[in-house]
Amino acid sequence: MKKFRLYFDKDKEEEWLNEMSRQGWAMTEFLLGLYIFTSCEPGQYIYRIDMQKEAGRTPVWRNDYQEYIELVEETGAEYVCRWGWWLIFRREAAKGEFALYTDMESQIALYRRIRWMFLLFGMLELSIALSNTGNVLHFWESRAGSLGSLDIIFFVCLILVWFAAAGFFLMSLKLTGKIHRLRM
Amino acid sequence: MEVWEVVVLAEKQMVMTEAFYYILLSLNTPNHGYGIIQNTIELTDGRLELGAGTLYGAINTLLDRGWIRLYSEDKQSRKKKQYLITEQGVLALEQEIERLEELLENGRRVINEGCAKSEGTNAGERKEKEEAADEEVQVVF
Repeated sequence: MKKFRLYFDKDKEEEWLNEMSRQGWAMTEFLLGLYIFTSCEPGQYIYRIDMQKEAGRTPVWRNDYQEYIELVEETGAEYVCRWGWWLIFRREAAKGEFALYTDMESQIALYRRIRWMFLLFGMLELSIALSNTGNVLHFWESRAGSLGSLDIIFFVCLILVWFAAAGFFLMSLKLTGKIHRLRM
Repeated sequence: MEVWEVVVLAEKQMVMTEAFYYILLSLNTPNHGYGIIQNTIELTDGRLELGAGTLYGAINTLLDRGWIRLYSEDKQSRKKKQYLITEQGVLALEQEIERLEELLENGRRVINEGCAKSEGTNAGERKEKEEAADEEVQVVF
């Protein structure tokens, strides 16, 4: 089974994957918002989404997760897939509660890594959105209020980039709230 | 050890979580990642099961600080790194143990004093009640 979803919040994504597992669907692959499920025993797996490396400091293509994945697998879990800096693991629920981060400090550090990634992407999207919007306005002025042959696809993309930038910044705000609540 | 190193150590000392403490304890003899998890479970009678993410992050921080070092890397069979506590790590651990001892001593002392005090008041109250009962008895007779 395939499902398309876009999540900004990894906790909600995790919840959804676990809910799907409860309904007998185990996630096995991820690609650009497309989740691929195979059937499993209802509630067979507990899923955990992780981010080990810091975006910006570690290139996204560098694949040196072997050591970490081996360690997680030694605890009886299974590596499902990687997407960018994201790693997804699962463990059979029969083996008990599955947690990758067992103290407040490391949970905060995880949220900080994720927040940093969202901030980086937010700034990237914002600069793309600003420069392109500037171009559009310039075009508008030179054509005296007419957009002429400006491509509709270009517009749609521009609006999407604005939405993405807003989403990334909102998510980093939300993560700041989560970190604050953990500290209390 | 130089003076500045001790100062740096004292500053870093601020953050010794349970995870750091048990990782350092587990590396008194060479040990690998999963060995640390198992050893911690054993030491705490199953109370503390370090998550892989927590452990991995802590190991890297401890390596950066120089409190532990790489002991061996088995390149032939499975690549499994072993770590060992350093001199600096032992010092940090000793400082932490001292701090914990102070916490324990103060805690026990205050609690015991508190108990002694409340026991004292209870005894006093009982005596007063007994006296009052005596008076009552006297009134009845």
